[in-house]
Amino acid sequence: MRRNTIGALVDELDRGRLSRRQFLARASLLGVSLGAASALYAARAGEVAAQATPAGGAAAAPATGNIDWQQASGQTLRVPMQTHPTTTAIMEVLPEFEALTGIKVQIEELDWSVLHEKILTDFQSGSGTYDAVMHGCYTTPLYATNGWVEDLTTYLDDPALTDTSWFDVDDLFAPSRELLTWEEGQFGLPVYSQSDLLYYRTDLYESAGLAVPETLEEYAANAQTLNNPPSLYGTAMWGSKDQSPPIFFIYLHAFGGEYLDADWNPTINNEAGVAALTAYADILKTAGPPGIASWGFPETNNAFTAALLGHTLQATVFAPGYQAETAPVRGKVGYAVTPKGPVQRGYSTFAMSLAISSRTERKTAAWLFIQWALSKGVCKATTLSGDRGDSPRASTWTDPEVRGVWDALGMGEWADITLEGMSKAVYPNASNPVCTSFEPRFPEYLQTRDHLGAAISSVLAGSDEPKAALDKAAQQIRAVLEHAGYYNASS
Amino acid sequence: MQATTTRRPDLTVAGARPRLGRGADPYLLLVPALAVLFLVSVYPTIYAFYLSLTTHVGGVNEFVGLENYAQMVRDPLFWDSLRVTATFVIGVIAIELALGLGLALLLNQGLPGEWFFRTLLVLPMAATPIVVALAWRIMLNSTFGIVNYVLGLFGIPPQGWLGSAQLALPTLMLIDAWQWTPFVALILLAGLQSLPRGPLEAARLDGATEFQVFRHITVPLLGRVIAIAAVFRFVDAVKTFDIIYGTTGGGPGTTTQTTNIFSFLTGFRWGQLGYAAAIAITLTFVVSLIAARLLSSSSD
Amino acid sequence: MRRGVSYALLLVVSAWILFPIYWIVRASLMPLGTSFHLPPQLLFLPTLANYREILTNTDFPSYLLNSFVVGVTATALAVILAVPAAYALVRYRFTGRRTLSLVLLTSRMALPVTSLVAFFVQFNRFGLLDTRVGLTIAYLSFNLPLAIWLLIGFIEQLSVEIEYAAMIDGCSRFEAIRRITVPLIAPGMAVTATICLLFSLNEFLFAAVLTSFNAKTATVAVYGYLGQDRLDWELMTATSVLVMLPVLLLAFAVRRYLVSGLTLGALSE
Repeated sequence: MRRNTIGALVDELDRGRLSRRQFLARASLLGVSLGAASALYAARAGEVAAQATPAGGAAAAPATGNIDWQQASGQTLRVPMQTHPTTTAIMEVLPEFEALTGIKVQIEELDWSVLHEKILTDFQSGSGTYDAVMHGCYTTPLYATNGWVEDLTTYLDDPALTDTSWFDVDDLFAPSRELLTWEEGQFGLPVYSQSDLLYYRTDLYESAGLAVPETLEEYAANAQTLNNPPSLYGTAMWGSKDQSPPIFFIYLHAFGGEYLDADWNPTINNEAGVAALTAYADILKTAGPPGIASWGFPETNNAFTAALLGHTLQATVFAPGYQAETAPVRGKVGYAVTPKGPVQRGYSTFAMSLAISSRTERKTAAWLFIQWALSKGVCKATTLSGDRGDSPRASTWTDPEVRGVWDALGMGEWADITLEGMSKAVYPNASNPVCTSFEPRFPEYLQTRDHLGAAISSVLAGSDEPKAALDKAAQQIRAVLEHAGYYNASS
Repeated sequence: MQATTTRRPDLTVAGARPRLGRGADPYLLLVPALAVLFLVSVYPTIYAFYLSLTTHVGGVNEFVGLENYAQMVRDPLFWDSLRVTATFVIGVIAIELALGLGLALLLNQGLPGEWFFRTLLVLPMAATPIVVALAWRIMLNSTFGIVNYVLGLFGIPPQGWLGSAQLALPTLMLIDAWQWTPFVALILLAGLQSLPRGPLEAARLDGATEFQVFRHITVPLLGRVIAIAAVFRFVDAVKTFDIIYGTTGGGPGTTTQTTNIFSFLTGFRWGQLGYAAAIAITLTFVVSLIAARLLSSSSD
Repeated sequence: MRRGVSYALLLVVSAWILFPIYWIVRASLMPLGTSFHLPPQLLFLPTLANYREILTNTDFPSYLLNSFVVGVTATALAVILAVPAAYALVRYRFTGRRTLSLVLLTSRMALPVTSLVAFFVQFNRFGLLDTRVGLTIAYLSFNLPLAIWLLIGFIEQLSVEIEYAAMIDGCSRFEAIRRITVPLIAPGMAVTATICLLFSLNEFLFAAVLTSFNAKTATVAVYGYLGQDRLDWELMTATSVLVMLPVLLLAFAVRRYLVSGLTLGALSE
């Protein structure tokens, strides 16, 4: 069996099998500092005369926790994951996991929507094709209620399975973990965490003499000022029916709106909700690109990267991509907290979960994979090598080496805002027992969210007025909840 | 495409044939295919019908009778999807028949080099639909897309093709027309080439203009072929999936959410397989009825 | 003059048909991240890097292989089963014939979700999800009726006299089919097989739902290039070209029969 040592890694590099990123990530995982690994890569790749030796890095012992990693050797895991920089980065270091555990991992990369559709079909049929799954936190209640995913508490508490002090579960952002619980159980652990913030073009702001917006009103005004189609649009935010709700929620909360009241009645169509959607649609329709109602993450992100947008409210995870060497906006991006609305600041938080399917017979192997993929070492290594800026671990964000890289790219402010956003419990209206987090949590949520998404998208597309669209969505949400029996007990 | 014979797609009218045998022979020949056909086609339909009478609760299928059908009749999203489907289907049939007929007439003049254009027509109808969807999605992107760029050269402001309530469905029709107009054109061309020469020439000798000949002789004679083209476009247009899923996914809002897409989302995104089956079976039933009606009237 | 107008119109039509295909091929030959720059670069140095990336650094080749293995198997089975069935339908009157043609016709009308839900639940029961065998069964559901319809057309064109002659010479019925009919309709079988294969290779929905890793097909892989933070158009288009190239070649080979294939022989040539 191939052992994971820096020597073996260098052999692989010499055989031309590794990209620079893969090499750096895996070297870092073996305890080599980024500087040493870069030098080593440069030497081996013949970019510079060979002067660095592996000795400097290899001295550090690989940090892999004190459990029997080989206990599920020989098994193969099948894991659907979102097509995402984090997935890419984890795939790049997978050979280290395979060498450590003797477990093979097959990752199926799937588009956002398809990911849910495939996991749901697998779970619903009980086919057990998947051993572990990556899924959005808003489906945790659905999966947990149906008993489709494992409560990880038992795994975390078992010393044969988890090196508690090495894994240090408390280092994973508490709000993110919170999003993956259901009725006392921990039904997944965050593989990435994000909130949202304002990205703006420093060069454009400067030349137009604009101040960083404090309120959503100023945010809209700045967008109008910058808007100069078709070479530049003031802003773009998610508008497609399956992706628009999260950013809209920022508006909804900022305007003091709620998804549901304490008796499960939909309230998105009340005055605050309508005002929020009106504001959201106004800015996008007057200072956004045409066709915004079909834009999701890829379109918005591509447009900002290509320097076509003045500013945008976006997930924190995208920042590293904007600083990629090929990105036209590199070095021209400023960061600020989400602007306030008339009532409050609409903080957001989101986590993507790794969970174990209840159907699989390879639960131990699946847990080893999750434990490894979320470990401090992997989170740090993949952050250093890849385009990810969404480590679920506080330690990654405070790590001087990581922080050094980001500071060098001018991303220090982004890191501060993100770290702050992710470490605090961010939902302000915890008084309503039905809506205790950024997005409400109940098993039927996704279907109701799709109805809201359709309403947002239809307003952006110009086929409906905010009030009419939200009324319709509220009715559909009520129908879903009624069908699921939410109103039976109370009446 | 030389001599063309048209034939009804109804086996029972295949004409008088000498009886070569009787007894068990035909059944023996049919058994293997029938067995497989039952397995892959009949049984799934029956099973889907059974599913449509159940609902999935906590891992077990619970029999609920016609509840799913009742829910469907009450569901505004279902009716909305039917409206979208009807608009889309009627739209593409109209566009494709009009363009296809024009194209067929162009190619029926005996121009040198016609074979080249006819060959070209094969490309869209064989092209992988999901790839076609992605290609158009790229070309129609409102900021990066080549379509808006080219329009911009003529001073036309950028359009949000797939993200506008007014444009999304027409845009999908246009994509569908790209793929299927050649199919319609080739059917009609085959029909044109099999027309009897007599009536056309007689009319011309009587001094009819080309348009009069076309309007009063060609089109009526082509009637059956046009109907065949329409029926098959009807059946396939109702089932359109890849092109919509790969571009709009039914959005913006629900403006392009056809019943086929709606049943898919219901079953495979919202996890209500029973309800999805009820929707799909209902639509299959309606489509079969309409298609059978069209086919029988077209063969008169 | 009139001829000039006709050619001009035909040129417009050709451009309309070819442009999307050209645009895909073009993007697939451009360096990563450059295909959507505007104004479009008219001159660029074509690169095969995207193809190299896909073929060496991803699992795409195995997905392409799945497409072909499933497509070829489903096609071969369909044709083998369809020949005797089509023969019986053409040469015999028998009870149940009308019902059978109705079933064949309805299978063309059925909404894919109908059979999809059933396949999904049943495949799961028998461990056929994400297997080539399972997907082959699913593809038979559209290939078999199609093959029967197409072969009916070819068999109808054969004269029965030659079969009579063989039978008078002492051949049994089945021998006559095997030794006379099958060789005579061999070209028709080839056409039928090609059309079935073409449809199988283009199929997306069944493959997207019924497979994950082991039996994932190339069309599903193409769609997988839609990502969270990026649209890797150059890679996506390169996979698209690899998916479509064989299909278009097949279509070209049977171009004269494609229309009749799509109309279940309602319009045969």
